[in-house]
Amino acid sequence: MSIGEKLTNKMFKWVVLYPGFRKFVNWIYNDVMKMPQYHIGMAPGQIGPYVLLVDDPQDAEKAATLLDNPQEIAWHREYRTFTGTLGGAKVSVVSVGIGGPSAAIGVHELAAIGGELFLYLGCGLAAAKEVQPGEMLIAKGAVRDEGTGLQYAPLAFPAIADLRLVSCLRDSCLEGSLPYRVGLTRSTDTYYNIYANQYADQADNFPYTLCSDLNTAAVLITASVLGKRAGSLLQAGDRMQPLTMTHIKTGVSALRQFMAVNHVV
Amino acid sequence: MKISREEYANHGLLGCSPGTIGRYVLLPGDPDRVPMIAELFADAKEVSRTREFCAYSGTLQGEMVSAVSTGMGGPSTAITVQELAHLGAKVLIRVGTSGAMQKFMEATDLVITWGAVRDEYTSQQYLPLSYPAVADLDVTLALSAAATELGFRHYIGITQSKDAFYGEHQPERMPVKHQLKQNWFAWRKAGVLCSEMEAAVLFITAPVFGVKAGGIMVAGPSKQSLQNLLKTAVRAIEILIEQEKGGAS
Repeated sequence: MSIGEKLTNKMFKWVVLYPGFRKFVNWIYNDVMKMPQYHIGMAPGQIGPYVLLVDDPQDAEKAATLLDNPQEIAWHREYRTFTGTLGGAKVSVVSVGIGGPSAAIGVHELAAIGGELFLYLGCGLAAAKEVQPGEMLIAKGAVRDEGTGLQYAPLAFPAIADLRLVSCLRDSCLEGSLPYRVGLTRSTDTYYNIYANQYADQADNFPYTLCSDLNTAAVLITASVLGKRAGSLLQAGDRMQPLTMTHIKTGVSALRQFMAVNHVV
Repeated sequence: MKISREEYANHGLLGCSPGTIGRYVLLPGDPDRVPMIAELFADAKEVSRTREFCAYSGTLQGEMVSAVSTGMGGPSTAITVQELAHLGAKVLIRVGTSGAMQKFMEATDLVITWGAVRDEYTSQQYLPLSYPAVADLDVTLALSAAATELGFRHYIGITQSKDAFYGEHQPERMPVKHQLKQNWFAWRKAGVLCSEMEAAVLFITAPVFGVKAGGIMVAGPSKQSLQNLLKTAVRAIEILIEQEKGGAS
């Protein structure tokens, strides 16, 4: 074993065993050397402060067509990133995969390299009986029926969206005269559980919720704990499916409205 | 005419009979603040005075409005919300004092509660802990608009609702002091703005009883900013009434 390898092994051991040393190494990597983040593979400067989050790498490509000068920056694992501009401000579209664990890693690393506002676009599954398929569901909060958020904040902490962003999302639904509802979504960890017994489960066990989804709670909790803004716009449907253009356009127009009224950076 | 406590108590624990409570209600914790709020209403009169509950009703822009004290803590707040909803209240706004938790805040700042940490037990008897205690969008936007209009410095964010006042102020007296201090650290680190005792219960019981809820607090004990707080809350109700009238016509 060469001296270099031995040193690397030693350092890896220290990083694993001593949190203080890990903090120091993280600081050197992220803030001094500006190395790319571990999973998303991007460094500061490669994304904008406004970030659209989607599940599917293919949806990221679709959403990027609405940006000005979109460029594919990176594609590692499920994280595919396009960066472009909207009205002069830098905006990125990132796919974060299905589920809390990958969404939380995505938001955490994006926040570390300059993401300030996260808008998640996803599918609202097993919607409540009064909700029609295709309706826009604006999540002002999420029921934390999932595990990732627990490692960021205790269960008593509310998974809620940014007030201004929720207001902009509602305005953009009104502007596009789309049917919408503002309410709670239930974020869960198991897709086939909700898919199998959708109506009975939603209405009986989760009253006062509009739908179920898999990412919202993790995105909201992670962003909130890291001091960033986040929101979630879902479209009611009966299964995970590609995002519709109307859905993405509504999200983008909400971002434009947010930029016009509130300047994040 | 002096009405006896027994006569008041004929109508639930609040002692308010049907028809005496408006659709918009301000909820302070302290019964002594109810007359202070009532001074801001037109033709206000006492409706009930029993236990920790004091109720006054008056009018704002021709619409009947009320102020009802909840008493301190979750249990009496839940009782108040349930009885008020039964009496026809539609919008409940908590007004009260709290303790600032972040260094950048001052005692005179207003805090508009958009969500609350459910560090209490009453709300868990209504909905599971996984539900977020979140305010109503329109009510919170109206509070924010009112504070901006009147020029008071305010923050919008998450507040902590606790059960034990002295768990926060004298944690070392408690057998669970380590847990209390650990949680306190966690809430501060997560960006919680201030600590109080009722918002989470109000926000969780609101959807259960079909009412809209919001909350605004002052971040420290200050008489002047309490007046600012009450003026803001009253202005927010006026904004909501205006919006409703505008929407109807």
